Amino acid sequence: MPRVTVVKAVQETSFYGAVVFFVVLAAFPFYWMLITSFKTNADLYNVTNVPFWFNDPPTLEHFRYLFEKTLFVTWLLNSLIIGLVVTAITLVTALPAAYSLARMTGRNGEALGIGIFLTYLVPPTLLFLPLSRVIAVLGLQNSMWSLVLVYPTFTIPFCTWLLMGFFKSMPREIEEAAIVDGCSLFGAFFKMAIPLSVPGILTVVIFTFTLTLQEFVYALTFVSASDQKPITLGVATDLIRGDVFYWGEIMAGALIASIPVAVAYNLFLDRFISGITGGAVK
Amino acid sequence: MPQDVIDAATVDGAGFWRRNYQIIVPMILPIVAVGLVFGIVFTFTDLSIVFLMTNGGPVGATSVLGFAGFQTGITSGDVSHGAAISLFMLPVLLVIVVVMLRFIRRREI
Repeated sequence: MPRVTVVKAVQETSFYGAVVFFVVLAAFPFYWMLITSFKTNADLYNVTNVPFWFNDPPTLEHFRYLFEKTLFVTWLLNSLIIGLVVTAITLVTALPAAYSLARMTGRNGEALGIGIFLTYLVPPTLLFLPLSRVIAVLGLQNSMWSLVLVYPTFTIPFCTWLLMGFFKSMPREIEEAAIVDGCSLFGAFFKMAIPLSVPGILTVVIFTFTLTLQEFVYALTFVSASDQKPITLGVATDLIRGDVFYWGEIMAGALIASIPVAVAYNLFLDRFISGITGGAVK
Repeated sequence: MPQDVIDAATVDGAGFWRRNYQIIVPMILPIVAVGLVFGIVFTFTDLSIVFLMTNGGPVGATSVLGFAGFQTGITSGDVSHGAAISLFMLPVLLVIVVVMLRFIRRREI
């Protein structure tokens, strides 16, 4: 009996040990951002100080500088606008595409779906040079609207793929019943499929928003005017002047940008993913 | 991943490690392979980390193909040269992706 308890204790300890290890691994960058953004410069640059805690009292000067002396608010707004518009474009195109691929095509649809998946595999690093030419021809250089145009190239394939899987897992009988009861195909799509796939749509919205928020390569390539930059680019390029890194401001900006995303992930995903269609067909 | 397969293995006396490596891992291998393809492709072509951390320096010691393409194509303005550098990655990636996809297909059938 004691042997069993010892084995159990070892198991539990190693399990929680592993959990703690990964939690620390995941949370440490956030802790680092938080603590750096509140430290005074004197504290940051003194190498004899303990780096993991405040040696001088915390300060708000970095946040004040960020909001008053840089274009941080503009970047934040730019990112928000780009994110919202791109999400709208993605939904409008990916929803019908995914639905038709999941329901209305046979083997060709399968191949087409894999094709769409493969487009997502072509990385931005290969595409930014040809796309920069397109942007130049359209006269959109140095404008955030170039990003609105370009970001759907990677969000649409990804979201179509995601929604396709979602539609495939939904029972076909619900829409068939709606069509038998006199709905048109579009009616069945709008009144049955879309309301039932709200969890999937929400996932797509969050994914699209995060993908656009964290995108860097295209923004770096197409935008160089400070007031047109999204937040990733603004924080990473405008707060490093020559060899001077504005560490406190960089960390504060990164922190402010990452908090909404983290909250959105934690609040929404768990709650909405759970199967709504669970007992729909009886 | 169906729970009853895991349950059946447990009933047949498989321990944690055996369940993990002889039941679960073989079954999710196609998905793992897809994740691996994504990881390889996006790591191979990533340039933002290089740009942010080292800017390719010192003297190009930490530069990668993607970043070299960016530097010649956008920063120096020689678009065709940059495109050549970027395009060079395509055949390499294509071989990896094709091999992986064939592997996945074989596993699924």
